[in-house]
Amino acid sequence: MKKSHDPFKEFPQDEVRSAIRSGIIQAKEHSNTKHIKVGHWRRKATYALSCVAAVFAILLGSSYYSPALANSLSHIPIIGSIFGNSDIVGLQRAQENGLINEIGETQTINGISVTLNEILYDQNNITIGLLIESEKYLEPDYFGSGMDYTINGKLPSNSTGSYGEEKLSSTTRTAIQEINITEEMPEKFELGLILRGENGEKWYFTTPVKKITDIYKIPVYHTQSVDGLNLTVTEISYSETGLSIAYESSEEEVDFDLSRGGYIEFLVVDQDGNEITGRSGGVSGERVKDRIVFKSNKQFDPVGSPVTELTITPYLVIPSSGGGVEIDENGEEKELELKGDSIKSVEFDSFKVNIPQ
Amino acid sequence: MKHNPNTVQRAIDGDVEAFEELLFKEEKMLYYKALSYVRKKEDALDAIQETAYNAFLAIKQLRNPEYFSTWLFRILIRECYRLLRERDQVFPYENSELLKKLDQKQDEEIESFHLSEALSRLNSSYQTSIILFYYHDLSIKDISEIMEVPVGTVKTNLRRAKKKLKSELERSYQLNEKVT
Repeated sequence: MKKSHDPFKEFPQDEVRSAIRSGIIQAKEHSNTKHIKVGHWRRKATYALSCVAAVFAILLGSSYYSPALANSLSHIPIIGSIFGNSDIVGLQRAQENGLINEIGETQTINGISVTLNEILYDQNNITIGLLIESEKYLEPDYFGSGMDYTINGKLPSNSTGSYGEEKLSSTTRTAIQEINITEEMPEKFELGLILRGENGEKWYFTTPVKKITDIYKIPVYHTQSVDGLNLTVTEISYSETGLSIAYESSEEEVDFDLSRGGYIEFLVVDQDGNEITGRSGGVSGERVKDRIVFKSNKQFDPVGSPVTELTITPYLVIPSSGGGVEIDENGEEKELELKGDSIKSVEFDSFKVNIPQ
Repeated sequence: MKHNPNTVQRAIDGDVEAFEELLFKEEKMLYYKALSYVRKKEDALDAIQETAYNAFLAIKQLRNPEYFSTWLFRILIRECYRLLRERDQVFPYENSELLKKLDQKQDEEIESFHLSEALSRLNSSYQTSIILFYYHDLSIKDISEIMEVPVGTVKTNLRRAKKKLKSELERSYQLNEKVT
């Protein structure tokens, strides 16, 4: 039987109810916490994922205020390059090597000026530097969990990222927004950025962005299976601004709380035993039949030219604090209770990757 | 009044189940209304989610429970407007219908042909004011709330937009006469 796709002919009751419930849940969260307005893209992702029947999805490391980013912004003198003055090595390198797209566009609403200072689009993230100046004092969480974004005018189906601010004075702050790269992003596109203020202000910027060109990719396809947990590292990519490890894991498990794939991290050392510092990298996963599959790009500081070989050791970090959110097929969100004590740790083998010179 | 006043009052007092029940009763209207403005299913769902979010946060300010539906749909249209504005789009309309309401007496075929072009030359505030007022039949007060501008600004938008549209359409009509 041919299925009609005319939105005017079919009433998608389940999806409408899911959208209503999601809106209410997030409003409740907002009322209860007051300090984090859940990002629009996360709300969007909620029902985009919920319409896939029999698939449960979990988003970790989504758009939240990031203490790590805030920390990286400390000690910034009054404005020049926000990236150049941060303590994130990749951003410093990007600034030194002229890889940053300097914008400098300012928009003022209700006496609050937001300057889109600079953007970097590399293999890991689109990173945005903002300078925010206001006539009056603003609450620390005035801009909630950071920016929403569009790709060529369209909202992404889902997104992970982080947002951090550094207060320079009672009326001036800088912010770095990181948006993790997804498959939806072309090499170059029109990026729309929306920052919302607590009093309904909306700053909207659009700017063309283009991924930096000198990104080297090394196909890896290293696979190992330990205690039923399968891990495949598919690719390593690196540039002046950082290194990333793309991997996928799967495990026969139906409970996200007990699934270990989302807790995989990597220790990376070069041929001389120097550790390459890891940064972040949200992980997203979904339940496919009786398995839970996670995919992620873990991010690291850039490697220098003397590096010829990397030894990579996967390991599990079973959390003792923090948490996540599960979104079911009805769009219902549920805070995940940590079950660290019930998770059995495993040990992976190391493997080596040669870096071509 | 189509909703039980007790249910509306419970929702105003913060009862989540009552609020959800009210929105579920309006679900079809919410969906088709949103769809008529934003055209795409995903965008309509997005607008509904934003509406539920903002309505839940604002319902304590609803003073007259009997106007719950009117109040809710104002929020919905405002969210549709925000969504369209983010994408540099305007509210949809039918040329012929809009022309009738603009009370133009000249040849409709020619007018309809040029109306889109004339409208596209107006700035987006003028376009939105004209389309909402003449095509979607919203009041000036509603438009001012949706566009988040004072009532006086909407009146000025309408007056100037209508004057510009008239002169553009007359110019197009004269040009067309010369060609034919």
